[in-house]
Amino acid sequence: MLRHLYIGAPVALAAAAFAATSQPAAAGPVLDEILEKGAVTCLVNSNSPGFSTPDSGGRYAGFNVAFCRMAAAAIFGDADKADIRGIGFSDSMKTIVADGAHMASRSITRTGTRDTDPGMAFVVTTFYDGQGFMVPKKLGVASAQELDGATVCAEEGSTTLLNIADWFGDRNMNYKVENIADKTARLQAFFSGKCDVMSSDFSALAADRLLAPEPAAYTLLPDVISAEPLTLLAQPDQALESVLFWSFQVMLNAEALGVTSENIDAVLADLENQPAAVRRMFGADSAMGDMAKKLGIADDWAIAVIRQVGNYGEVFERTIGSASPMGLERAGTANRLWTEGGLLYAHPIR
Amino acid sequence: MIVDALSRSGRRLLGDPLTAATTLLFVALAVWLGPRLVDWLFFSAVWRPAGPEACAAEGAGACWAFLMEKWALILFGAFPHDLMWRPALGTTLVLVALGWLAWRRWPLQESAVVMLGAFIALVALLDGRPLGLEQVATVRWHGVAIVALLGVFGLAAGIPIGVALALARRDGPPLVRVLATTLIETLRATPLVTVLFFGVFVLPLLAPPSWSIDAVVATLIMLVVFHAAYVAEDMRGGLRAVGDGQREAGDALGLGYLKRLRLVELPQAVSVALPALTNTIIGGFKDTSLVALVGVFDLIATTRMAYSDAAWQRYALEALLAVGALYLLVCWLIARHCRTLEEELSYWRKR
Repeated sequence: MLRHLYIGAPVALAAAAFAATSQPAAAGPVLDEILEKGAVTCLVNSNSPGFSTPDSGGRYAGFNVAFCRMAAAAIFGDADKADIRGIGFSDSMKTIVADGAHMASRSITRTGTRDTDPGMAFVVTTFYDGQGFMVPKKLGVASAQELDGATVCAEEGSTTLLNIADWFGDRNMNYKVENIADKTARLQAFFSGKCDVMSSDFSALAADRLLAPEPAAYTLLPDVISAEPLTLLAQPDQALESVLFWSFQVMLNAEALGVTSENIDAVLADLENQPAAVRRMFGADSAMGDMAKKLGIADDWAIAVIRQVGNYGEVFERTIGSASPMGLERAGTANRLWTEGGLLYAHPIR
Repeated sequence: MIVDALSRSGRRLLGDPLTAATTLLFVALAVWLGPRLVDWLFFSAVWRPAGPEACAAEGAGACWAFLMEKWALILFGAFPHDLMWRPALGTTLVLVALGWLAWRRWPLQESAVVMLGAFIALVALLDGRPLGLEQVATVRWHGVAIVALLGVFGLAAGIPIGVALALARRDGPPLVRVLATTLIETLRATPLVTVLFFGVFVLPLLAPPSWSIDAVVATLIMLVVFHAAYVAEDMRGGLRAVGDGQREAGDALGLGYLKRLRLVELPQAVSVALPALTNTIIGGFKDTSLVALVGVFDLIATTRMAYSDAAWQRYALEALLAVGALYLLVCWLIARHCRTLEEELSYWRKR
């Protein structure tokens, strides 16, 4: 996400300070520390609609929060052992580097320079975001290809504008820009018809749409013009990274195989008659048990993840999908299983 | 009498054409906006704890249902809600302590003891460990508890330190004087946000790696020194107004330095500096909301949490109005109390 770019300098500083004292990465010390502490500390954004925000009872909920709970479910067999901390200022990378947390699930874009910084490890992409377009339905536009001559509302001085310039320029299309720095003013300009199109990150547009006087009158175009792979971040630790990566794969495999938090008990009761992949994932003498022994985590970690958190599709629909107030349409985006044309490729658990 | 009063106010409101036009303009504005505002605030408002759908209905006014749903989140943020009594009790204790001391007119030693006690009680209740309760990490100290901790004690500690700084600047040996002046002038020339960023992000880099400086603690320290610098300047003004004559009179009576300060100079200086101090106190209290920028969750930050719920996003205005009203109430109480003190002090001065 764009707004995380400017923290590069403090992160680099902290990383340099950390590199001087850090040990060579060994397998497991961070996971050992988590097990000893009895909770996994996970950083989230404190106010990101749909992705992470405290509910009325003060407990964090949302799409990103689900992956904190996934980690706790896998490690302890209890999703509630996630110590979820909202970080208001965008300094989660620095906090991770400085040893202040075990992982972050905070819509952080994985980029080359960030990945080569010491002290933090990108694990697995949970959401493929990218810059998109929102238009009023009455404009009658189905694709961004039809936006020749449009007036675009976008944030001043951001890479958003550069992406727009690239995209329209590459296609020899004309456009005008209304660049407005303040988000409220920008939305006001768009909703009052001053611009034809509003451009921002896809997930942000979905939340912004809800602020319209009549949200149903606006729609998001399917075109995505920049790459923003929002990725889980962990303290470098081979064992912890394995836990996170493979728990996520369990969520993808479960979706592919039709196992949900609701039917998992029925599936387990009738395990012999399930497909081989399901038996390998959830059976007693299975890949699950083997991996649990090697990593020292809960024996039934894969079951716990699905039972307490759900499969990827369930989490998506519940928190940000078309059934939730966010109303993000999953169809047509990269956030589908690869078998359906998306980028989510379920790795084999065996 | 009544006719007299009426004609007097009539002259004031309609005396000349410009005044009359201005009066009429404002009356028209009030007539035009007033009923709509009252209707939005009260009559069309949605009160019952209902879902966001009720507020989205055609012609619905202010969505107070949002506050009914989210009040605990706004007041206490993500502090575990089953332990909510701890920040609630702690904040109440602080308010009671302030009320008691205000009523007693801030006797010096008693104030120091009571404020220290309230501080310890608040921190113990929030953290839990000193009382044998479950620990709640500072990252979960949110909302009113943060306002009580940073807003009240930032100033409560800043005032005495500020007085000391002012005295160091005036009476200290040359080196101390230069140091105090440098500190005061640097802090006064720096925006609070910069000072807070320094405390939260730069200080930990300068400190030995084994120290972990908590963001809430760093913020409190920075607020204390920042307020101290402003208080020091207010007090310098007060001390200068008292003048050398009083100092010499104190010396002539054979009073030592501290006694002279306590009995002769400071009481007079405070009474002169009070209006400026009131300004610093109110401004300082409101500035507490800036801590949200360094990741400390005050009331404004918890309010933002509340309206980041996708279903309730549209009702930010209602929540911010409520928090604004709370700040207004507190600042009005401070201002009123300080005015009372001023009147009493000037009464004693006249005698």
